[in-house]
Amino acid sequence: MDGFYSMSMIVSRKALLRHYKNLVLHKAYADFRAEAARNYLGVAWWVIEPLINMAIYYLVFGIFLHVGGDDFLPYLLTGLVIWRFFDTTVSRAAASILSNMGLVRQTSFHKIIFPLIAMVTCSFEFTFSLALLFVVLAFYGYTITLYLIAFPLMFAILALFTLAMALPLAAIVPFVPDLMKPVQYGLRLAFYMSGVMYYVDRLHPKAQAVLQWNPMLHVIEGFRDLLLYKQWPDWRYLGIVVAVSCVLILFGVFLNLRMDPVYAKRVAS
Amino acid sequence: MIEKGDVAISVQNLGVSYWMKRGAFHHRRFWALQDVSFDLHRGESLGVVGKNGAGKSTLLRILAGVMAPDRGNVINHGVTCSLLSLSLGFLPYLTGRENAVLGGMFQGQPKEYIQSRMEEIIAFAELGDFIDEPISSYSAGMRARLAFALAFQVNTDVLLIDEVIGVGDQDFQQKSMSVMKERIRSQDTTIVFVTHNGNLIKELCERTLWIEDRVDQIVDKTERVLGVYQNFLKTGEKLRTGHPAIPAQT
Repeated sequence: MDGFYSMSMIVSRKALLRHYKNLVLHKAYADFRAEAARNYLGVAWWVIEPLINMAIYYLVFGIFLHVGGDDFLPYLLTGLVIWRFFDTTVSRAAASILSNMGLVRQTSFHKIIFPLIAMVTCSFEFTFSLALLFVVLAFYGYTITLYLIAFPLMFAILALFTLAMALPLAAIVPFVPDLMKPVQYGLRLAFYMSGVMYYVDRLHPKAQAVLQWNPMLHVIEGFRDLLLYKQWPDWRYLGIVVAVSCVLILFGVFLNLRMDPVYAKRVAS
Repeated sequence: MIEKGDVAISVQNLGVSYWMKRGAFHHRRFWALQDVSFDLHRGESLGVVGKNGAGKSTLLRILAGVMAPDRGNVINHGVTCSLLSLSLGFLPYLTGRENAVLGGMFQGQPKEYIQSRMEEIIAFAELGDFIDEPISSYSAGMRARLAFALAFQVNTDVLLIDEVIGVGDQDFQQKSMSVMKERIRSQDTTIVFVTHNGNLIKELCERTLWIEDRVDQIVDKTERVLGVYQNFLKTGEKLRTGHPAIPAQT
């Protein structure tokens, strides 16, 4: 039996894809609502949290350590907002199949939709912090430029790399839940190595050479190019990021399809 | 298209194992089903009995295609299956209406279809205006009624029902029973029905499968199977036993 293909009302592959799309959007919206309903301020937290984060890092790095110049705050916030999307999506998606075990044991659809749902939910959230970012940028006198037309492309690259990390993890975590710990530490390490709260070009050349290997560094720099520096991103690095992401996504899809018939067999202890 | 009475799904020597986590790097494998064979015919309603832990729910999951068998074969001759149970993955913070749409979609029903049947679902579940309240404010009975109402709008060849019936008050039980009979008669829906309630099975199912010890004991006319099963409940007498320890297969 081939899961959803055997469902009577969904006859064609096209209808199936449409159904999956509806399902992902619907569930993502439901999870988004859940998040919003969790505390009194609800959705407001998605604006407040990046602000608080920004304040903390600004205090430590901007004021105590004298990292920044005049435009350190926009520089910092851009990095934080982009990083937050990556971080929340990867952690949420990695745990997504495990945390939806109830549904996983019930239905025969492809479980790969759970990490996708996580990503869509985080994208809703992302729009809020993005709105905040634009307000702060406007406040600092940044204007809308032609370079913004590359923003959707830049976001696509970010989303691609995020998926490349999220999909393989989502397939493995149900079997090795302990993996969530190294994932959290790995994310934290990558955060400090992404040049969010300092300027990479002021580091020791050797340190710079090491950091070049972090894809998120280039992604965040790409966003800064568009929003702050009014120049096109360095497409060579981003091209490599895209190529690597595509390979990892294929691997992730393969892994998810491979594990699909056995997820329900894992019994939580 | 297979006709009424033809074999819809045939299960041959089915074995299913789960993995239980044991320590940091160890998984213990245990077999929920070891050796089960039977044929499900188009248009019939098959009852499944057995003590807790006999593997009944596992059998339904396999029939629904939620997971793959570890041993043996499950041959689907071209029918669609939906697994329905009371939990159905309702989300407490969503309203009844939103949950119905989402639940239906997870059962493979297009969104528009569920929405077009919403009035029937609300009426059957006797929820009235409550349908737009969050599920967390529902009583257990209301939740069950919604699950049941939704289950019966699902458009599928084979309904796999895990303990859904027998919920709600007397009136609702009567109503759901008659709907179920009606559906069996008019729509040719095949039903596999897991329950502990012998009376329900007697009333609804021509044939019954008894699973015990992770193997099929007998599948035959309901009267006969229930007779043997009730004897087992009294005396512990089984027709065949599962292997005490089947070596884990890799």
